[in-house]
Amino acid sequence: MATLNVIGDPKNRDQHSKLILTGKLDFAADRLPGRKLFGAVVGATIAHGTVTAIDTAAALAEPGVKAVVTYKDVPSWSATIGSWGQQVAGVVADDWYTAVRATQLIKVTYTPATVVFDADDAMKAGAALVGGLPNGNTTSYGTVNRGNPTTGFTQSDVVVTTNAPWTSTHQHAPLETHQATCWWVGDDAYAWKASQNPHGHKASMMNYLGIKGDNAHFFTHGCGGGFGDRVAIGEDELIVGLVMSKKVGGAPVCIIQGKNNNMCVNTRQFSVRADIKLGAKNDGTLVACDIQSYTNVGCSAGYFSAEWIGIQKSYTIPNFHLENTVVLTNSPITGAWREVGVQPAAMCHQIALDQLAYKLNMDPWALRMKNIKAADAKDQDAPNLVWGGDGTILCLNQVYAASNYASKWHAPNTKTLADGTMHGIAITGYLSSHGTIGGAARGALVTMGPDGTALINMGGGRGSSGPATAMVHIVAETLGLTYADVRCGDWGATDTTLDGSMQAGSTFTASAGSAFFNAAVDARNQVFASALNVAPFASITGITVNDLTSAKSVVSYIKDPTKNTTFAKIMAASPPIAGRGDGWNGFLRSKSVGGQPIGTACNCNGSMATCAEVAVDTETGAVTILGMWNSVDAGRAIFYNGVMREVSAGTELQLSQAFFFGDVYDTASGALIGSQYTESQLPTYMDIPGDVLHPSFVESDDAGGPYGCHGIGEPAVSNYVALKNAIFNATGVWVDQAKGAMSPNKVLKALGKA
Amino acid sequence: MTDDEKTRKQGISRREFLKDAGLVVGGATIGSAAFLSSCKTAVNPDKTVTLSTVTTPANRFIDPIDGTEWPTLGDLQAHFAETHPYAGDINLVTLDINGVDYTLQVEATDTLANVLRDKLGLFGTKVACDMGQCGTCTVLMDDIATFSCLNLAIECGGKKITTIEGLSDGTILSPIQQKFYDNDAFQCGYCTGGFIMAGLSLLKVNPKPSADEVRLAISGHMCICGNYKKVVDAITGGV
Repeated sequence: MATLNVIGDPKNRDQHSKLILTGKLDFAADRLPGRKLFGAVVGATIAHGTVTAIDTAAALAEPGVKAVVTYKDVPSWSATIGSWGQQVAGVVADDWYTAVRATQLIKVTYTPATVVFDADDAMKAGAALVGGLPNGNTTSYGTVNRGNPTTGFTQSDVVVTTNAPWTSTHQHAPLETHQATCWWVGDDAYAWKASQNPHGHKASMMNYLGIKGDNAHFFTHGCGGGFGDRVAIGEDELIVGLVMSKKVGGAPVCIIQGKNNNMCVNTRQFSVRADIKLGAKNDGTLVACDIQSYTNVGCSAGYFSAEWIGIQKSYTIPNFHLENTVVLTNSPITGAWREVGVQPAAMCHQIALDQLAYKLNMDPWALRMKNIKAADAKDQDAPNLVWGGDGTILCLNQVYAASNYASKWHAPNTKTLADGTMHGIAITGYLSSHGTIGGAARGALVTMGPDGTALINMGGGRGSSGPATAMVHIVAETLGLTYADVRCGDWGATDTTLDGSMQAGSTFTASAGSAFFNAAVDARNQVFASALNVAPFASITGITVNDLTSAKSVVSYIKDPTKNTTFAKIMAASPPIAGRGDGWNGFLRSKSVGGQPIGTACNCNGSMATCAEVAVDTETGAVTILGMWNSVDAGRAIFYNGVMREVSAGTELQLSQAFFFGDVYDTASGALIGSQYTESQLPTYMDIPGDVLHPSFVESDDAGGPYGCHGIGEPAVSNYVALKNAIFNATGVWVDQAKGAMSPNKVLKALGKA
Repeated sequence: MTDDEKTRKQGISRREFLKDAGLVVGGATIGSAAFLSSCKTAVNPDKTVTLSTVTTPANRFIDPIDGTEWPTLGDLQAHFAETHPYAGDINLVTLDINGVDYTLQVEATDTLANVLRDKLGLFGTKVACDMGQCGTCTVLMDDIATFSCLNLAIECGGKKITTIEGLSDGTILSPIQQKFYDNDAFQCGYCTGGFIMAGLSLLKVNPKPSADEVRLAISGHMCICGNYKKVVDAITGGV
């Protein structure tokens, strides 16, 4: 890897650090003290049916109430109810507590319909229709056919069928619930809220409200949690807030979804079930794979489903068949979640691989390494494409070495520790669909100041990991400035920034990064052109911009580096300079891989591996984590501390998912039971064993993205399934992953003791 | 007509909106005149509040019932008692926040969090669960970490309240903020203020806490981003 001056420097901190640490990073409700009205919403108390009447008189009569809105006013709402808590009405009042009280005075009359909550029931012949699909409650989300699986299974020495149960579903539970401050000035609509995709939210304003782009003004700064829940899907507060404001003459309205509303109506991780058949030779060579996949997307068809790239692309399997089916139910809408489709699928296929390995009497690690895709392997389904790097292999090797797996692995249910608990260890690893370039950024701007520093305005949202800081790194490196000489000015304001792509771990670094890379190249060329007019370059005969280079805020003559000057001196004598760049449509090969030439398209994605080591108390079902090693492939780590922070956070988040998270419903009514943070089982500091967590990343010298970077997959970690496989290694039983986390009770149930 | 001119006619310009987020100056905060008026809030004239970079008209003292305006707090109180003898207490409370006394009129049901945020513009104190589950709204009350969503403002008179804005001037970080900075102990930042205040409270009684002591002290806090280890690292061992 080339040595870089700014990129990857661990000394560089998030440019918004001081705003956060001093309480000045402003979130959606952090403006206009005493100068705004407040909005609250009413959720449906049925999961399926139709609103037939709404009586708002009592709410309107409540002192302090300014207006009410119903589904008839809000273009993103409907009288048709698809899930419990779906918003049907709202109140605007002087303060939020008055608004909430008044929502309780709104009387909604429904005509209920049969609730179809269970996905297996929804797929049965004759099941009541959830609605939204032309025929039944299921639809295909795509198939994959490769080779001849039927022949492949007959050629296999061992065939294993895994019936993976439904994975759990859980809400994002962001600490900043969904909220927005909205107002109107004539025909101009203004909205301020958490967003990972400000220009996408502006588009939502235009689409729902029928207003032109010039009249839609969206901006964002802080984003209090969400992980994909702030991307203009199912986010009603934006449109509702604007409708509420319109009702009160354009006055600022801060709509705040309380926890219950937030938990009910915003997107959550969906649930996946799969029947997986794997065939292999006795030496572990995979021959065939057949997957029947079902994704319970709730009452929202079409956004996402399980993604099987983790086995389809990660491992060499000549014969492969996938049927991916989406199932609608009267449960809340689902959508983006960290590694939304990949992770629940991995909870199925990584179990299947372990089950196959044990059937073959192989170490599951050895099975994976025998079949993992080679670094320069062609895509098995698109032979003209070559994958960019060897991230999955690197990750698997890193956790293998760091955990000392070779000395710890054993056959299932064979190692008892001194305290009587059973020891288990497992490694998982795969390629993620995330981390790629997703939707080219339509533009980035880099403005040179007269003092030689540069300013960027970022069209993306802040999110959590410091995307603006990552962009600063790319611009500083490309321009040849120091990190301190590039600043992020404003961000997330659609009036003052170009469309900067969606902020997400899966796409932003490479998508918006490529736009900022091009903008920095444009600015650098202009700076070099100006440099030709100042000393010492002005006196060099025949010099062109191609004879110059820059680093650490100094521009030098390549043939004689002693002839140099600073950006500050150049810009003091230069006309104004602004560089503009568009994002790439996809990854471009920066080095030759697999015989493919530089500059051609290639695939780059996030990869990861996890090693989990546990001790299982077979009397209580308690699982103690002895060690958790996570490795994530960053391609090239642009913002070192941002990557480390994301990987560390991803490690803890999926640990929470494994042992704590889980929405609980009354399946008869479809009601979400327990919408508080504690009831959603967020862990406390006493629950997270920080000392035994070992997050890390690898740099894979990938073939694409600015400086070889790609997204880290949000970040991709596979703790849940690694822990499940480790518990099997300890006990010889598989814990049911359905309906929530792997609680001690579930462990005992798997052991036949509960 | 410019955008700001159009907006101003209807009450709020984008510039005003942006400006209104930056009311915190030198550890003291105060609302704009419009805010004081609409919230029927008065500020103790005995205390000097420095507003070096914020243009704020003079404080206003407005009768919450008849809307009449009075030149001083004393005039308002005298008028209120005389004109509305059966209205009861005007619900004035003096809050010592970050070393500045604010005499405010509050509703009996106003939480401290609500007053800090929407009456004083101290938005560094965030609200998440609004019922004592998450720790996000933590402030120091007489140096003890306290959930401001669980305290009624009317009951906080005489207490020494410190919010995240009271720890630094916004440019030079306090020692504990610096340790959070050095450890990258934040992610989205929504819960961070609460953690810092809880950590500060712990350090006041235990200057060199162990990791386990830190975990126990902040066990009432949640972070959905998943940044627990870094927060523990930031507080462990003190500053």
